[in-house]
This record gives sequence, C-alpha cells and structure tokens, in this order.
Amino acid sequence: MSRFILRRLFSLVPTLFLVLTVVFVMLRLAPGSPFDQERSVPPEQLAAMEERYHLHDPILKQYGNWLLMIGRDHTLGPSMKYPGRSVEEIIGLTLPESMKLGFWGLIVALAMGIPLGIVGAVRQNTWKDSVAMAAAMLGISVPRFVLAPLLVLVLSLKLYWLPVARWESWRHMVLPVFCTALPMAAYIARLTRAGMLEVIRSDFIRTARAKGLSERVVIVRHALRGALLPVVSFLGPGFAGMLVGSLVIERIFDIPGMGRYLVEGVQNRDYNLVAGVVLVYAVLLSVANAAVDVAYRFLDPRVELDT
Amino acid sequence: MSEEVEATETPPSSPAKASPPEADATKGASLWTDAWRRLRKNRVAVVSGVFIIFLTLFCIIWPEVSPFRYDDANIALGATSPSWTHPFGTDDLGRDLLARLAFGGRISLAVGIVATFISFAIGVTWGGVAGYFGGRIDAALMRIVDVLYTIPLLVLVILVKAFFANDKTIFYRWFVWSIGLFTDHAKDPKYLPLFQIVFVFAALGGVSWLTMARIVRGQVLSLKSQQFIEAARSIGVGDAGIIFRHLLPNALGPIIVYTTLTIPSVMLTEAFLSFLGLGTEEPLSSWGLLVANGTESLDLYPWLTFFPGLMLALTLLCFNFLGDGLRDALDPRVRKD
Amino acid sequence: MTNDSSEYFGTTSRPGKDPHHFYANNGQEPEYLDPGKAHDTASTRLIDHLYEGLATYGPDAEPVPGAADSYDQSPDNRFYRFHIREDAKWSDGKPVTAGDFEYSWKRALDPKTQSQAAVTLYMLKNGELFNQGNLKVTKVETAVHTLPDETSAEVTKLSARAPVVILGRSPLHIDTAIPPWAAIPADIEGLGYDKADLKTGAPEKATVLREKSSEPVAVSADARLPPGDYALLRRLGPVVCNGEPDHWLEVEALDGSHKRGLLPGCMTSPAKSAKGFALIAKWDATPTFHAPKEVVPGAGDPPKPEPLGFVPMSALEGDSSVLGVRAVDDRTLEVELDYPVPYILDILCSSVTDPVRRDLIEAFEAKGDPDGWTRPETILTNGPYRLKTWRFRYELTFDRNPYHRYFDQLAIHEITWMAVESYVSTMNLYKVGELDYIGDNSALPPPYLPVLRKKKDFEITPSLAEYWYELNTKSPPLDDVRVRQALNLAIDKQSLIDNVVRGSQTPATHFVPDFTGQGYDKYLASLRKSGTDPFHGKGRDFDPERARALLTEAGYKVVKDGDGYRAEGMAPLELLYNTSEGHRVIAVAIQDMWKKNLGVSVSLRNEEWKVMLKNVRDRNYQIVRFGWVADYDHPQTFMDTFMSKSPNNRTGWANGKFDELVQKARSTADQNESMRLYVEADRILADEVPKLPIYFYTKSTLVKPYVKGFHFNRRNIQLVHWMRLDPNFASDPSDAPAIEPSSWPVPGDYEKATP
Repeated sequence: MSRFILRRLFSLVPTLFLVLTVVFVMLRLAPGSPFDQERSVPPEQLAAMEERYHLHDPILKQYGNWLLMIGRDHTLGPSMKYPGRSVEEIIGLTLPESMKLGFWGLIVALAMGIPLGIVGAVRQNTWKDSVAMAAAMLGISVPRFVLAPLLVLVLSLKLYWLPVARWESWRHMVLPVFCTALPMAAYIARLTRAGMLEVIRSDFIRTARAKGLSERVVIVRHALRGALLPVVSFLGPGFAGMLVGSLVIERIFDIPGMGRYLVEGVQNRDYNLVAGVVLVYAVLLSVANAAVDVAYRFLDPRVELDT
Repeated sequence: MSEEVEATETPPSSPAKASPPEADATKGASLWTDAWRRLRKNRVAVVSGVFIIFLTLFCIIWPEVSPFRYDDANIALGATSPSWTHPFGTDDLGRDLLARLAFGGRISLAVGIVATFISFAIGVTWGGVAGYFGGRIDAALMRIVDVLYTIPLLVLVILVKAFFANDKTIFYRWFVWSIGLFTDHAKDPKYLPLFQIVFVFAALGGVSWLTMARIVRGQVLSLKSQQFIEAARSIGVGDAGIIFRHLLPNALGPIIVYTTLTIPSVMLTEAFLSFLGLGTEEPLSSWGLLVANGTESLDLYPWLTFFPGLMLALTLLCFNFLGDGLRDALDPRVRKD
Repeated sequence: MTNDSSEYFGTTSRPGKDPHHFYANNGQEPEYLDPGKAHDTASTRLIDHLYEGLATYGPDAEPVPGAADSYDQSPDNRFYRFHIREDAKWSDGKPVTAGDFEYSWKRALDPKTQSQAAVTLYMLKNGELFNQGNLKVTKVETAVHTLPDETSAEVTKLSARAPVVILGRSPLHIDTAIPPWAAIPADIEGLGYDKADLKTGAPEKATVLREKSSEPVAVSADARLPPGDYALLRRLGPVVCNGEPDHWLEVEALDGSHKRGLLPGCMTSPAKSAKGFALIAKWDATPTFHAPKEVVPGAGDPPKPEPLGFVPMSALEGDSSVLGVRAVDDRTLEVELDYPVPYILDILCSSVTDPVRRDLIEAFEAKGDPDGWTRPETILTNGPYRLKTWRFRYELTFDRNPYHRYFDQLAIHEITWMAVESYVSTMNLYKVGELDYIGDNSALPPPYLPVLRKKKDFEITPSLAEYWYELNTKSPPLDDVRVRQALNLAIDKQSLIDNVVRGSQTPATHFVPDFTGQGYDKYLASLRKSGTDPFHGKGRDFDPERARALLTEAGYKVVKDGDGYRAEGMAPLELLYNTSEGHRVIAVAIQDMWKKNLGVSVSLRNEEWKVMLKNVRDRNYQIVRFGWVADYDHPQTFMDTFMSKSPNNRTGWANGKFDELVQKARSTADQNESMRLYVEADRILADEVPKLPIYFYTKSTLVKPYVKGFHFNRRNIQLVHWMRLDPNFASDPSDAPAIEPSSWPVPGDYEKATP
C-alpha cells in the first residue's frame, strides 16, 4: 500500500513538469506584454521593464532561467503585476481561503448529498425518492452564478439574515459555502443513490437481512461502503473542479481566494503567477486523485490497484 | 472541465465489477432493440427527448420567422417586462428576449453537441487504442491525458482565445479559407465573433475528451479479456477489427450514457465562461450569456434571468433524464421494482 | 424589488460600528504605495491620505497648504520657493525636510525608477530630458568605480555603456591622517590658505579659486569628509606641505557616497587597500544636453530621441542647477520650471510630488528588494494617516499618524479600504451599511441608476473626464477628415446618454470640458454670453443629413437601402474596445447609429486589456475606445494628448498650428489670453476630429447622509481628512468639514524674499 502511494506520488513529478512546460510556452507566445498600461509608456521604458525580467531572451533561455529560479533559489519568482510581492507569498495568502471554501463545501456537500441519496435509494419510487431526485436535478441545473445572487437577494437584502459579501466571520461563510456545495451535493446524491441501488440488490446484503439485522444497520454498516464507491471516485475531480469554480463565488462575495488568478493572471500576462497557480492546482488535483484511488481500495478490497 | 463538476458519474458497470455484456457482437441487434423498447417505456426520458427535439427545432426555425432579430437594438425602448409584442420582454438595449433566446439556443445547443461530438470522437479513439494495446502505448497515451487534465480549463481557454481568435494568426486565415468555400463573405468582420465561438467549442471539446478517454479505456480493459474477444481473435480478426467491431460496440452503452451527460456539462461550462466574459460575446447570445447578463439586474428585471435560466435548466434536466433513461435501458440489472 | 419607499438607499444607521471608523471601497488592489511609482487611481487615492505633499486637496479639491505653509513666486510663474512648516513630521517622528522632497522628485524622474507618473514632473527644468535619459550632467565629468581587481569585466563593460574614456587606475587606498575638505566644486584652479599649520592639524580655513572667476570662495573647516579610503582623481595647484613643496590632490570617497574632497599631498599615505582598485572614467565629449530632434509637423511619428545612457543619480548630487529642484536648506525648497505653470499648486497636490524617505528606500534597495518598503511594518509616511494593516487583495486599514499636526482634530480615526470589484456587490454592501459611500473608485451598475436617482443620498456631478473614440488617422478611409467628421456627426450623443449610459452626462463636441477651472470656465461663459458658441451649432452637433453629405463628398455615396442607408464603396470599419459591459453597450449602440444614419457598417471587436493595448501600440486598429481623466484642473492636461510629440497621442494625427497654439497658450502669463488660445486650439480639434468626442463624464455617487464634509467637486476627490460621521444628521444639516484647512498667505516675491 505504501509502495503504491509512493509510486503514485513519484509519478506526479513528470506530469507536473510537462504541465508547467506547456503552460509556460503558451503564455510566452501569447501576444501582449505584462507591462502594457493605458497611459502610454514610452517604448524605451517598456523595453527596459521587459529587460529587467529578461523577457527578450530566447524562450529556451527564459525557460532555463525559470527552472533554475525554482530549483536553486526556491522561489516562484516575483509577480509582475503586483510589485514587491512574490508569487509564493500571494499563493500563501490566498490559497488557504480557497481551501477553506473548498473544504467546507465538500463537507457540506457530503452531509447533504449522501443522506439524500440514501433516502432516494431506500425509498425508491416513492414520493420521497422523487422529491430527493428532483432537488438533486435542480441543484445540477442551476448555475452557481444564478444561485448566489438569488440567495443574496432573498437572504441578505430582504431578510437581513446573512451578510451580503466579504469574508470575516462564520456568518460570512454560510452563503458562499452553500453555493459551492449545492451542485456537488446534487451529484453526490445521484451517485449515492445509484451506487446504493446496485449494492442493495446484491447477495451479501440479502444475507445480512436474512440474518435478521435491522434495516438501519444493514444500510449504514454494510451497504454504504459499497455505495460510496462512485462517490469517492467522483471526489477527486469534483474537488478540483470546485477549486476552479470557486472563482465565481469569490467574485460575487469578494473572497480573497486563489481562483481569480487563473483568469486574471493570464489576462495580465503575469507569467510567474500563472505558473505558480497552475502548479498548485496540478499538485492538488494529483494528490486528490491519488487519495481517491487509495480510498477506493480501502472501500472495496476487490478492486485491483492500477499501476 | 465544467465549472460545476466533472460529470464522472460511474457508467453502469465500473471497471472493477465488470460483468459480461448482455450479448456478443453477433447478437448486438437484439441488445439495441431491447434497450430501445425499455427506453420507450420510460416516460420521463421520452418526454425529455421529445422536448429536446422540439426545442432544437424551435431554435432553428424561430429566428427565421420572428419579427425581431436577435441583435435588433431599440435603445429608446429599453427593458420592458413581458407583453404581447414581446412575450419574454426586452433587455436594456431594447432587444426582444424571445428572439435572443432562440438564437442563443442555437449557440448553446451547438456548443453542447459539437463539443461533445469532438470529445466523443477523440476520446473514444484514444481510449480504445490505449485500452486495447495496453503496455507502453497505454502508459504514454494516458500520461498525455494526465498532463492535459491537470491544466486548468480557464487558463487553456484564455490562451486559446488570445492565440487563435485573433485575426492576425494563421489559424484564423485557415478558418476564413474554409468558410470561404461556403460563402462569399468570409472576410466580413461580423463573422469574427463566430470564429471565436468555434474556438471556444474546440477548447471545451478539447478538454472533455479526457474523461471520455479514461472511461472508454476502462471499459475496453475490462472487456478485452472476455471470451468472445478470444473467439474473435482465434478466427483471425485483426486489431482494428477487434477494436471497432467487437470491443467498442459492447462498450458503447456506458459511452453513450456518458456522452449524453456530457452535453449538459459542456453547456454549463459555456455559461460559466460567458459569465466571466470568456465565452460567447456580444452581440451574439447564448443562454449562458443571457443568464449571466441577467443576474446583473436580478431584482430590477427578473425576466432577463428567469426565462434564460428556465430554458437552460429545462434543457439540462432533459439531457440528464435522457441520460438516466438510456442508462436504465442499457443496463437492465437496475430494475425498478 | 428595490422599490422601498424610503428616501435613502438602504439603511442610514451603522449598528455596531465605531463612529470614528470610516468604511470605503477602493475598488482594486493598489499597485504601489510608493508615490514615486504610483499612477493608477486605486494607488494615488490611498497615497493622498498617507502622504502629504507641499499642497493637499482641500474639502472642495482646491489646493490648500500641506507640508508647506507659504511660498514665494516669480512674476512669470517659472520660479517658486516653498517653505516647509516646522511641525511637518514623518510617522517615526523625524522632521520632513526639503531634502526629502528633492530626493523624491529626482527619484521619480530618474529613468532607473521607471516611474509611469514622472510625466507630471516634466514641468521642472530639464525634467523631461532627464526622465527620457537624454540628460548629461555638465560639471561632474569623472566617475570613480570600485572594482575587485584590474581584470574585472567591468572595465570593458563601462566603456561599452557610455562614451567614456578610462583616465586612470588609482592605487585605491589613501589613508588620510587629516580628513579632506569636502563639497568643493571640481573646476577649481588653485587653492590658497590663510593659516597653515600642518604640523599640528588641518588648516582652519582655505580659499578656493574657481576656474572661471577669480573670486575666492571660503571653505570652512566643518566641511570635512571622514577619514578612510579615497581614490586619487587628479593633482591640482601647488602647496607647501610640512615644509616641502607639494600639490593639492582631489580625491573621491570610495564608501559609495562619491563625495569629493581636497587635501595636501603629504597628508595622505597611499597604501594598497584590500578592496581592489579604483577605476576613474571620464565622459568623453564636452558635456551638453542632447535634445530630441526638431519635430516636423505632419511628418508622421515623432522621431525617437536618442538616449545617451542613464546618468547616475550620484552625478546629480550637489549639482542642483541641473534639475529644476533644489533644497536650499532643511526647510526651503526652490523650484525652477521650464515653462510657466500657473496651476502649480494643483500639481503639487498630486501623489508623485509627495516626499519619500531616502534612508528607508536605499536600505531596501541595497537588500535587493526595492519595492518591499511599503509594507505596514516598515513604511514611513508623512500624511495625517498611516498604514496599519494590508490584507492583499482584500482590504487596507489606516489609523492616525500621531506626529501629524491634525492628529487631535481628525474626526475619522480609522479608515478601512475594501477591494470589492463587483459593482453589484459594492452596491449591496452600501445598502446594508457596510460601506459609507460609493464614489471615486467604484461605479454604480447602470441598470440601477433610474432607481437610485430618486434617493436623497444619490448625486450626479460633472467630472473632469471625457469618453472618446480614437481614430487611426493613418488608416484609410479615416485619413480623410470628411469621413471622420461624418462619423462624428452621425452619433446621436444625447440619445446615447439618455438611453444607454443614463448618467446625465454631457454630450461632447470638443475636448476640454466646459467647467474646467483656472479661468477656462469663466472665459467660455463670457464668450457664450456675448453670443458666440465655439463648440455648438452646425458642423458640431448631431446632424445625420450633413454627415451623409460629407461622406458622399468624400467619395462614398450614401444611398437609401430599405428604410436605412448604405454607403457605397465603404469597407466595414472595425471598432475595438476592451472587454467590459459598459463599453460593449455603448459600442453596440453606436454601431447601430452608424448603420442607421450613415449606412456604414462597423464590426465590434473586443479584446482583453493587454492584447488591446499591444494592438494599439502597434497601430493595429481603426477605431478604439479610450478616454482621459484630467490630471489637474487646467485645459493643458487634455490638450497634451493631441500634441504631436505626446506619447498619449496614438492617432498619428499631427498639426503644426495646433502644437503652436498650445505652446503659446501654455507660456502666456495673461490668463484670459491663454484661455482664448486654448479655445482656438480646441476648435481645430473639433474640426479635425482625430478622436471622436462622445461625452464628458459625470460621477454618480452614493453617500450616506451621516457623512459630513463630503463635498462634491469636478475632480471627484474627497479626502477623508475633512470628513466626519454625524449620527444626528437628521437634525443637523450642516456639511462643514471636520477641520478647517489653513489658507495660503499671499505669495512673496521670489527675487526679493530672503531664502
């Protein structure tokens, strides 16, 4: 098992390397310079600024310098848009906020989705099932950027129950986390239900029932593990997708997270920052996938671990 | 990858718990007719399918017959609530919302279908080859999938736009040339937004094929050791024949389901991109763009959000129901008691 | 629905909030809190609170005394002398000196700083030349470089970088038993002295004879440099040293201060130092200023000036006649301008003229972290507020500067500046009472304007800024002035404002807003009263028929096409704008107008900001959306963007007569005549339309009724210093500011006043 984990983590490295290379090249080739401004900068000054960051060197040389910078100086470089701030500082300040949002979103999504899915499966084809699945469908079909302003309108502006925006106390977290969690919860509900339905019909469940165990024990203790398999395999990309999708929530609620740099960094041609954010994203995704694989194995010993 | 979630709903049989296909290739015909029969009995799926067809026809026909064009601005009119002349109201530039919805539907549906088709084509081939040959080919192909998977969608889209959707690049010239085969006015700058959309399709399709490839590969892996494949090989069927005539048709079930479920995912992603200003742009419309613009004045002109949102949600629901129905139809073990 | 019947938008109480704590939205993350480098409003607005220049914006955005409390000026508005107040202090208690200002201005102009705000200081003598790297310093001809050894690559690099000649290699260390005299100009010829007793110590006094004059200049014994390492520059006049004939030596310190001094030869002990050796280089040519070549109007792009290389800052030290700013003593700053600037007090409010602390900045530069000093832990500022916390991309908080004279009088003790980018969220935050106003750095979402207009806390004021479309006058058919005029006359600007922009803006037919100050508005009003209006009437206002006639005349016949028009032979034009909802809506409307009124089809292209700027830089556009916000309250700031040499003139349009008119207008001391010339120049612009004037901005502001001291003005500048929060606003309607600023005493006469 630990060999597997190590092997998975080890295989991250070439993947990360390739990812960063691709992004690096594409960024540098895209038209536009980090230093274009509205008040026209005299061309000499522009050239001088670009010179300082070695932007006129041949691409290979820039690439080499950049790798050296990471490997030797242990820094991701300065941000070109925010002077005086290094990329790792920016990431260090904003990643935790995104992670908070993501983490709680995940918890809430699981807490809402799994029970809903179980109800749907166990009470299949009753009204409870229909209601549960209808709610899930709705959660999937309504985009976050519609849900969020709607909730803000009702809960904050009309009823004054919750803050409108910003990121200060736990009360500020309620709406953003909920909006982040809802679509995920919907998917999780559907997956849980589907998985549960499959498991419920299997032999060993029948055996458990025959043994006289109560329905609740049967469901929770025995069926759930198998039912959660599809949920688990969804969590990896789901979590990553949430980190990206948090961009919308961050923008609407003014949360100082990392998501916005995915877009702004590229638009500003802030090469170092984009590289840093992509790196973090890639690491998170890969680790999440690896964790999912490991969790999968725990839940279902019949699964062969992929090499 | 969709902003919302990657639709990696497990196909009916996960790789680990693969069960033999219902019938081998020679009895394939009856698998499909069986499935079709079951599907027809599923009322929800049927209604959904009919609705989608109706909607598509509406979006194709209505902009041609409507008294208002999607880009007909009437500034003096401004935003008005639904009325007899404008059943869905108008937006702040005085444009008829119904016309914009219908036109937008063309784009949203086209994006969904074309991007999904691209992802289908690439993903199936890629995953099929990888799963069948295994070994180093598999490792190499999947490594590429891993790398591309790890690049955030947004970064890719912006770069693609900056690169390709700029009228000075070579890709644009190719595009103009290919359009020029069909029409005289290829160089008309009003086509530029269309080109940009097409590149967005490409970007979206270019990302969602990744999961498709993985799923196909998984299916192929689990099927490839089955007896009927042995049998085919012993008759002397070549590699290509085995992949395309035996493996894929049997794996097709989950693939079809996943494809149907990709469409809503792509449509949502397009809406997400439009909200960020990276997707469809004015004066074109798509449901995503309409919804995104509508949320800016949610309490002032609610119809601007309500109708596009409703349309989007209904379409997504229908595709999801249809996908569910297909899954139920193709995998009869999941029986409704 | 937002149709509450209450007369204010949202709540008017602030439960749980400190009445001395002000909440505002800065809109975006500031790029720099460094006055020398900041040029975006998100930064300069904060700097206006943290720092204090010689002047400050008062409650009505008029320049009031800041760090300076009085000044002298010359009659031709070219020479000024400012007196720094006694109680001006930094946030660490140290006094603010004139030297801080001199250092700050020179640093901003120094090409090495790469400041994008330097343009404001071009009024200084040689400011522009210096900033563009064309300045060579006259008097200091030689420079000394310390190198590890003789074979360093520096030797060759030095001569490659600038026209230099290597003069010599000094045996570095000269151990001075008696310190040399300092601050002695380099062009001395000889040295004499009254008392010499070199056995017991250094002479008390010495007399220096300058090269060009025989007037002796006394040098006092206090002017000494510390003992240490020096490099020998040259040998000067003879001296008797310890009874033996010797020479005076000119030496330069090698501790990085580049200070030069003189001492008699026998006072040195030349020995090798561990540091290496000194390379002495001399500028190669007779030092002069190399100005850019003369501009020929209409000849296309202004020729690029040839830079001669960057002049080291140290070269300017002590030689204050080069750049038009000098600190005469700790509290007196003298300023010399290249051309008269009657509105200098206004310019002295802007952030680039604020002082900075040299010791702080140089310490950070030495560490290799030149931008790191603006963090809350290390920053030093001299304004009424100081930086308390800085949460990146989220908020900054300010508290009061305990050393500032306003400390006890400020009604606001703490300010929180948020960085909310979404307009709708900002509006919501205001509604629930989390923000006290929405104004300068945030806009209100246009769809809500009709609702907001009805509220008492909403106000629309004219703003010194203009929205325009720039035309690439080098790209046919836009090179034909008739085509440009046709495009201009076919836009129904009033309808645009009423239906699309909806902010009660003023349609523009020319380029200097009517309400610009410094006498412009009065001049224009008097013109209009006498019956002539230079900017309205035929050929200026919306006139689709005339537009069609002009276009036809230019060779593109406009024929009827259904219930619209079609301009024959006219290829579609392209309108470029940066991705933004506001610009999109306007562009779509204008596209429609051109189609309906003129038959010209235009395609819209929007690009993200960086790509658009690059395309504009490369002249890769036809029509592009831009605008201009006044840097100061005077027509010159708008006219600047049309001058043929200006970097902000991207249109390729150049008109000699226009340049001439503006130059004359700027140098004319008579205000009325000056304004007359400006109006003349603006008429040329209105005729030639290298840019299409669309509208003059207005500012829509929401301010809570309990905010007092917030005065609307055309600059949209409201500093928090003057504000106070009054919970009894319902019963007390006065809007007096929290502090009454002092006013300027009558300026003294520059020549006569004692420095």
